[in-house]
Amino acid sequence: MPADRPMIAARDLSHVALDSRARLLKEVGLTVERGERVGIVGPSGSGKTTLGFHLGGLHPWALEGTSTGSLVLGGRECIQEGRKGFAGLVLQNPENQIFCDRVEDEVAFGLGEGARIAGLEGLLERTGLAAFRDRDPATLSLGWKQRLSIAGMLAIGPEVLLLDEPTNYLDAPGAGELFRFLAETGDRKGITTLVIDHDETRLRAWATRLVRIEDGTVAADGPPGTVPGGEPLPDMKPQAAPGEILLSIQSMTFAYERQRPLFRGFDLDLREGEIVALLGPNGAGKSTLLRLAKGLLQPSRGSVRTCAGRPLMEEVGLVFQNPDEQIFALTVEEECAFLPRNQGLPEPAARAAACDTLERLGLGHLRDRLPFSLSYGEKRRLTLASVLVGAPRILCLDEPTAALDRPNLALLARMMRDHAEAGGAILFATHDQAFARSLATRSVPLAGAP
Amino acid sequence: MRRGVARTLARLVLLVGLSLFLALVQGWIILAAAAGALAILALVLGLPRGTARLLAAVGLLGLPVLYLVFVLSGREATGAWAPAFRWGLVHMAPYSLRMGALALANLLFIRVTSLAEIMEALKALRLPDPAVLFLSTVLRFLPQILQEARRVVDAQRCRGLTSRKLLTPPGLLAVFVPLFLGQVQRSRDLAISLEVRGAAFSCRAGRRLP
Repeated sequence: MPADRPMIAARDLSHVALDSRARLLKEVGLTVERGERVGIVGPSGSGKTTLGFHLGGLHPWALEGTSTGSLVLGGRECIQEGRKGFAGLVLQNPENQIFCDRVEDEVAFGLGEGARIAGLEGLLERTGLAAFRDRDPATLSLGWKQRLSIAGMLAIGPEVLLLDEPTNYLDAPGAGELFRFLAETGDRKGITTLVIDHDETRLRAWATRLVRIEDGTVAADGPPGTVPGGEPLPDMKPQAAPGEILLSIQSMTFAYERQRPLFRGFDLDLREGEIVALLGPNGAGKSTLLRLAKGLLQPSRGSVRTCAGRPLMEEVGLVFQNPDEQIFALTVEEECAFLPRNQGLPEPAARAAACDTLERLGLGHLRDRLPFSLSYGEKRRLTLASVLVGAPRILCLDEPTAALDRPNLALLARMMRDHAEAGGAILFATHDQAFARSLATRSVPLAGAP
Repeated sequence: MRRGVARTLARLVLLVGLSLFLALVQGWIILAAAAGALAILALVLGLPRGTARLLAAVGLLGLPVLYLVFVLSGREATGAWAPAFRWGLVHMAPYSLRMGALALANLLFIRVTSLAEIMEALKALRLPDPAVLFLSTVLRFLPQILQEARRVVDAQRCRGLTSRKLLTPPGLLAVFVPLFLGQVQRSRDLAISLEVRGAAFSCRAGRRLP
């Protein structure tokens, strides 16, 4: 391809989804040069991923719908047939795209027969995976799994690397390391890198250009400094002084493997009105501590108890990170009424409790909708509602900010503050230090097993 | 034929033979002995503790429903309720042992054989690529599906689902639907990842499986 031609040129690019007939992209015009580092940002459901799939030439395989307009990739018009091999794709959950059970096999998967021996060694060395070549990918940390996914895609020799929400499952050091790696790899090989992410702070530090998508169109495009947005949340800490102790963890010891205890003699008191952030790298035990607080796991020594003396299962509410791992009902109201029904409430009371909670969380108008059709942010709010409906005083949240856009983040922060100010307490695990700084009354750093 | 391939094929033949034997053999004593031997082997080889626990829990929790089905079948077969309970027990025991032993045999095979070895062996048998991909994917992701099932059950326990309610239709749906949809998403992600990397699902074009 001549060097003066853009790597990607989209003109009047539109896409209509097959099922909903919604116009996800509306006459987008965008040009990307070779070697650019482009961050794509915008609210949930604005069309970022749809645009990303088009820019990578992957739309015929990844999307169901009709694309119109002009899309020139590497000098070739690709609007109808796409262009396989033009872009490598890394999705948000690396575990979903790793196929082989040996690191070396996974990297080699995309190499052609002839290139396999020659290319494999170099690729393993460059990506730092040589030391793990015989390992089962399942035994790697999430950060290394993400890197393995990237290596698997680099093996096909792509012109463009497209990453869709790559930091959702990574801790802060892991995400920082990922962006350093992307910058190095992109610069060395002249690869154009497109990253779709909600974490604008990190994206702004890495990208040479930021594209903001809103309602299927390009709302802003330019160097990161010129594109508005990305401001951190204001200080939203509850103002009242902490009250009585609601949850007490004393001299608690817990281990998955006997020789490597995750917690040894751990103490934590959670008081009324407090919002406590659990910080630490992947594997530090943040989610485990939340499961212990809920009573899903039992400590081998010490105690975890509520000061009201009620069982943890009744007094503590726990909301998991991935809403898709719990949503099952046909309407939003049914989904929310599941807990009160299980608690033995009569049907009218269960429905009334569900409706009341949905209203409180701004989901009342969606009560008859199919939960699977909600946006990601709405699903997260629904899972929160389906736990809050049980009126737990102690609320545990596992990575509540993951993949949330700015408006949903602000909404979540308000709900958490309201819960604390209403006499509850919150314990939440997060990688998002800015969110913790703006909301948490204190933070507990966890280091994990030695 | 390479030695590694021959070894995997031998294991595959053993697995198929054992599965056929377990599927066809009559008499609960032989089945109990086979299941016991496989359980000891699983202990020695060290199946992941979470997987073993989950399998045991699912098996035990499913027993009451299974017994009910057998009792109803017994009612059909004997025409009366009193003998139906004994009939149900007599027929359920070998069935449960058979299923448990089959599950153990397959898990043990996955435990001692890597995916690359399985794929190599299946290709040595000259099976078409789509069949190799299908079989190896099923084997590869079984442990991960079990892990995911555990996470879904935990999420629903946090919403008041008890082991007793798990056996009711809403309880089963609360676990089955997210698990099923999770697998649909996983297969979608995996398919596009493989396709982007040139895995061919037709023998005429694209790159063949490694």
